[in-house]
Amino acid sequence: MIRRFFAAWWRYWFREAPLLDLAIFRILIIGLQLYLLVFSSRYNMVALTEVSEVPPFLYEPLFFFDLITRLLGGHHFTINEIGLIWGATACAGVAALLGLGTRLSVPLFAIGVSTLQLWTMSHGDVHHPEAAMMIALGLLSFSPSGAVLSLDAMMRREPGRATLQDQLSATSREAKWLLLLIQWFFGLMYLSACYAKLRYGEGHWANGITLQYAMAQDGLRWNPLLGLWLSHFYWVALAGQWFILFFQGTFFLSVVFPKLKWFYIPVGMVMHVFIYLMFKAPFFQWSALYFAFVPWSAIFVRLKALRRPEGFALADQSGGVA
Amino acid sequence: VVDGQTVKYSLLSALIGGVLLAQGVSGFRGTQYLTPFLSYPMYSKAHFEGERLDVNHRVYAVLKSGERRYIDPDEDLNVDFWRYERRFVTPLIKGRSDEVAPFVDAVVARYPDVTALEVDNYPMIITRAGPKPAPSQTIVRREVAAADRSPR
Repeated sequence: MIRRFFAAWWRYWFREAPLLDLAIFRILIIGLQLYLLVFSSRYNMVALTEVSEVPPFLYEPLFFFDLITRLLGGHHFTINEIGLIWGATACAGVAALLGLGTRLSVPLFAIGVSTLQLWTMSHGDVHHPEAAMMIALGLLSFSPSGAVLSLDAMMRREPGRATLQDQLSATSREAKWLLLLIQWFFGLMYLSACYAKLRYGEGHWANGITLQYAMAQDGLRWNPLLGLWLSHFYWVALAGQWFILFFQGTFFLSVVFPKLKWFYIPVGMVMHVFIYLMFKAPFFQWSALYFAFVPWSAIFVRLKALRRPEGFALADQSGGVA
Repeated sequence: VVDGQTVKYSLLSALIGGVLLAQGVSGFRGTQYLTPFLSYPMYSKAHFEGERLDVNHRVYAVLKSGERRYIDPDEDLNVDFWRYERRFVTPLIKGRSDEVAPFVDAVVARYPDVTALEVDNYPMIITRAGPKPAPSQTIVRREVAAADRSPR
């Protein structure tokens, strides 16, 4: 029984899969995070300097950041050191994006981003958009994400031997688990968000007014494009709330039944765009992580831009990289 | 004999299991302890018609003269909106004086003759037809005693 469970577990997580999907995912999430790190007013050096200037009593190291500081002998980071980490992280990010020394540059980028985020969050304020990205980058470090679409792969390719098509069609048993894990992670996040609404809303959450309230509140706070305007429409809010409960509570089914991804993924992506337009909640990292669901290889094979990977049925992919 | 691949997949399996477990526990137990494994309780409280909009609060230092001076997050406390609301205003409203004490110190440094802190709510309520104006109210008044300040 246990043996069968583990056999099924391995078949599920470590099945043969195209490396191209993983490489595209690497480029998209590292590209976005690098852009945010350098250009976003929420993550750049100006933002980090502002964090360093908040009153010292707000500094309460979170568990994982505490672990980092303890490993460094109880070290307390100065803003100059944070600046150095920021610069090194940006350099590692460029290398990871290009796929140069990927086995090293991706972990360095993940460690740098996570250290900066945990340091920021340890100064009295935790936010949600960054959390899933930290975990995804950390996991990416354990995957062969630079095996194709990378400078590493280009340098490995010997003239006259493996063609670019060969490389793009390459598969690996380690190419899938990360994408699947991100998908399950989304399922868990949405399910716990749905649970919170049922628990803390005490059965009254989906009453229409709750969403009107949230849209008016954030509309007045942050002046997003649609929030304040939409907060005047009760029936729209009521329908929206029931839809959110349904979507969050059942999203995990799309991981179990891959064909459902054709509904859940586009809808989820549009939903996060609307969340930004209604609340100005910047969940850009989540939008990028959604690309873990996109079966790039299958799309390219269908478009005849890519040869079908050997021993790999198109049907396996077209359900959404299940 | 255990080959390298078996060891590798076993370690990856432990990683997969650990990540799912950490997210499951954090997500459903509502804790930030294992950040970046978090719960997602944003916007999960129900709201009702006529309820005051919690856009922001204004905290005032009440001076001996009875005059009220607005405590600005940036200028007086050097914190942003979220830290002002979550770390100062919320504990002040809930009477968690130990959490407020360092902020009280900063207010006293700015206004040495402060006698009390007062919190005003936002001048709008929610209705089915959208947000409507409503007079702002002082919802909390806390006397500033020596005991409220940080131990030195």
